[in-house]
This record gives sequence, C-alpha cells and structure tokens, in this order.
Amino acid sequence: MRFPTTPLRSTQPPILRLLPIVLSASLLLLQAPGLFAQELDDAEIAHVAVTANQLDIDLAELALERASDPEVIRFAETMVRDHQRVIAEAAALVERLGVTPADNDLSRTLQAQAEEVRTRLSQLRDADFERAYMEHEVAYHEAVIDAVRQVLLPNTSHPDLAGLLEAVLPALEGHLEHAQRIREALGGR
Amino acid sequence: MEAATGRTYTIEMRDMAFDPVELRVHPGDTVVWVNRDMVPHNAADADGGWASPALGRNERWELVAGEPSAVDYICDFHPMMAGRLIVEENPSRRRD
Repeated sequence: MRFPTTPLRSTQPPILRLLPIVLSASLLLLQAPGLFAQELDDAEIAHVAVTANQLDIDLAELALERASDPEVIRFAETMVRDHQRVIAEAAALVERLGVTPADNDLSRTLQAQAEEVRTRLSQLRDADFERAYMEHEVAYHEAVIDAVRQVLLPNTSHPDLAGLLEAVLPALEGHLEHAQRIREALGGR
Repeated sequence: MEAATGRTYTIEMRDMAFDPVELRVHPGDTVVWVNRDMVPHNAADADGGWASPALGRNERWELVAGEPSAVDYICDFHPMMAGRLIVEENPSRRRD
C-alpha cells in the first residue's frame, strides 16, 4: 500500500499539549520534541494505525527468526496474525470511506524509531534477544494503547474510523497482558 | 463426542474473553463458539483433547458434549482467554 504525503496542519488542540506526558512512559516511541505540534486528520490517523501495526509485524518476523522459546514464538505468531487482520480491516474501511491514508510526522517518527529498535535487537541472540523483544513489546503496546485512547480517538472525526480504533483496543490490551506474562516468565530463568 | 440430542448453547469470543466464562451442559448438548472480535481466536482443550480451527470474525465452531467432565480451555493465540466447560450427568440418568 502506498501512502501519499499531505501537508500537516499547524494548530495545536488542547489534547495534543498532553502528549509529552501521555507518552513519556513509552520506550523509544513518540519522543521527538515538537512532534505533536500539529493535529492529525482522519487520513493521517489511518496512516498511523496501519504503520503502527505493520511495524509490530516486522519486529515479530524478526523474533520468529531469532527466538527459540515456544511462548515467545507463539506470541510473535499472534502479533503477525492479529496485526495483519487489523491492517486488512483498516484498508477495507478507508477504501469504503474514500480516505487515502496520508503520511505524516508521527508515522515517519514511528518508522525511524522502529528501525533503531530493530538495529538494537538484531545485535542480540537467544535469551538476550527474547528478553529485549518482550520488554519492547510491553512498552510498545503500552504506548500504542495510550496513543489510541488519548490522541487518535479524540482526533478522529469519522465514527467508523473511531469504531475501528475502539474495536482494536481490547486486542491491544490482550497483547499487553500476554507480553507482560511472558516477560515475567523470562525474567526468572 | 456424541450425536447432538439436546440443547444448543453459544459461547461468544468478545473483547478477548469467552462469554460466558463457565458453561454447564449435558451429554448430547451442542456448544457453539462464535468469534465476535476483529482478531482470530480458537477454543482448545488445555489438556489437548480437542481444538477448533482459527475462527475469523463471526465464524463459528461447534462440538457436541460427551461424557460428564470438566474441561478448561483457552484460545491458543491469546492464552489469557480461558474458559471452563462442564458436562454434567443428564438429570434423567441420575433418576435411574
């Protein structure tokens, strides 16, 4: 899927002023200063949603190459399966709505930071990789859940797009709980 | 499991949980799992006795309850999703 770039707006609604606080607990995610000095429209929100899902698929595929722990492998397989499903639903929705996902600073920052994470994880092997991957998955899902609740949903104007984001939240929360369980199990070995 | 002769019960997979979490049925009853979530789920006996295939949104899978038993089951993809299926002896058999 190709996403054309569109100009970003320069206004800053109150919700966006909360972003540094909302996202401060995240790992590397969403930490560029001034990144949120714009609001997101539906086309940009759709792009962020697809990007965030695709980045977690990409990392899960790396985990499937590097991990040997059966629970980590099962988790990575679930990330691929679930996030592919979300992307497919999002693609069908934007086509039905006639919205073209628009690249934006947030999507680009997510991609750049994911590349940093991938580089770091690529240097690890075996149990070190598994622990670092699960640490990342916990932090990533915490950050994405916060972003959906406090950034994407409040900025979404179309009810169907909001419905998609709301429908994704239970899955993200389930992923977070799953990741936390595995992280704790790995920490004890 | 055995041929369906009794009632049909539905367990929904919704918001990453089985609803109801615990279900009591009798031999010959049919239990239907329906996935209402966006992401795929399945239902699998935690001890490996049976497992549904992956179910997409609004897809369903059913089994007919056999002998009295209590089975804990999970979604293989999301193991925090857990349920319990209890097959109780038929009331008519108890009266025999």
